[in-house]
Amino acid sequence: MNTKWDPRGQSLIELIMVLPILITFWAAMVWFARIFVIKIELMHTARHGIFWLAYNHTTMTSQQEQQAVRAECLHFLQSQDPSLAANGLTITVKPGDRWHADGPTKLTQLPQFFTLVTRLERLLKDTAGFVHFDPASITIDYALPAPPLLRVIPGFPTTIPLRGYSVCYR
Amino acid sequence: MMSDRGQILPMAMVMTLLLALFWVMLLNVGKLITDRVQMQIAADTAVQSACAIRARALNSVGLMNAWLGIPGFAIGAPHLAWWPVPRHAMGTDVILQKGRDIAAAVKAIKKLIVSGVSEGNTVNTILTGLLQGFSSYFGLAYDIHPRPAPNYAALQQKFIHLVIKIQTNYVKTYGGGLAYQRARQIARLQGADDIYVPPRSFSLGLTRNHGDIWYLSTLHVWFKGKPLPPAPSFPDPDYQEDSPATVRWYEQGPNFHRKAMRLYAFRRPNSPANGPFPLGPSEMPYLYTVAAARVYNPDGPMFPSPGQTRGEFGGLHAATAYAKASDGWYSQLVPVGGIYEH
Repeated sequence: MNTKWDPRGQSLIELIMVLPILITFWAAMVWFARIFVIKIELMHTARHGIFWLAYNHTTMTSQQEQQAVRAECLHFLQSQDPSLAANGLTITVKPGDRWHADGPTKLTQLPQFFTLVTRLERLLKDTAGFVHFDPASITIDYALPAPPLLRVIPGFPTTIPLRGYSVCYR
Repeated sequence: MMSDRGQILPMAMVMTLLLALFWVMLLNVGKLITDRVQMQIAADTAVQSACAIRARALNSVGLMNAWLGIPGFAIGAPHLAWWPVPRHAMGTDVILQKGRDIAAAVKAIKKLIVSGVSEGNTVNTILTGLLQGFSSYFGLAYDIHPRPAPNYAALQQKFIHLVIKIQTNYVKTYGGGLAYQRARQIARLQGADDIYVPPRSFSLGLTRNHGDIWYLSTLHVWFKGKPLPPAPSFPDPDYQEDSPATVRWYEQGPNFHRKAMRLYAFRRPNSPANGPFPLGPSEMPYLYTVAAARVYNPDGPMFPSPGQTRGEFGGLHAATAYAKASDGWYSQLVPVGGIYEH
């Protein structure tokens, strides 16, 4: 039996064959672009938190500061990107050493001065101690879930770790 | 007739290749943008850190300046620096000193009458002896410190020198080297290779006041064996600093009002922080970012101006200037192009 080749529908079949590849590439591009967007959001949030600490001149304790900065960072981050899952976020805050005067801050506290002189003399001898104080730092980790399409690839992680980090002296 | 079978496949191949190139470009550009943002954050936090350390320096130096500015206790009135030696029992040494002083005066008067020769300290010796004799007539006795022990004039001088030395070290370390080093550390922790700060940015703009310092002696007086409160007396020549090079408190220098600082953070194309990027034959561009910050004190400059610190109580202004602005210096980011003066 001699059957004649009918070209109708051929392009459609080829397109159906190629389309998944194109869609995969396109989805990967979108997804990777989203990784960078989230990464930048995390960096900005860490910066926001670190400047919150740097400009905080209240008399909060270290623990109160940590709680306040965590809440502030979470609020800031979710205000700009509500799609981020809060349970995937880990915010680590180290408030560092705040500025405090080494001794009396008012002239009326003069008697404290004698102990300060003794201490400063010792600190001067120990240069390392004289200049030792820690900066504040904020680390924001986010576990971005990998899309189902990529999760089928063997060995592909289920989540992608992203980090925003900022550090500053106060 | 030409077959049109598979005609979409070459086009799909080309499109796939193009998409792959786009994908690589996306990664490169994405990396570039995130690095640029990170570098801006590095510059912001580095300059903020440098200014925070400068604010610490100004606060510490200001506090020590306030101590120096207290009259009597320190050098607020530089010719009246006095730490009173506590009262003590009259003791035999005072009586012996009294006897010695009177005897020395009598000897000096005799020598002056007989030979007409006046020794170097004759007038002082005679006056001291006369005073001793005169006061003894009324049941008074006295001694004058500094003496070998306790020597409070020496102690006070040592203390003032120590505070001045600590202040100088604060200005040198916190104001300059340490601020630069910490700013650099902060920038490097956030992906920058290095920083650049225009020359003289780290100067705190403070200059030393120069002039005399007199550490007064203490006069103890006993009336019929009972001690009276200590009183200030003339300075012993050993504790009288009359050299024009004698340093005193800090005051505003000519550049004190310049409080803004500009800082550049940069990353080189061959920086290890770039990792495997860029994907492809090109190289990462040179990244640099700029930021500015300043120290500010809303209550006042904390340091006196040179015009304020003239006169006998000139140093007192070092204390009052601090008291007005003791809430301290703070630091904040400012626009790079702005001119900020205190």
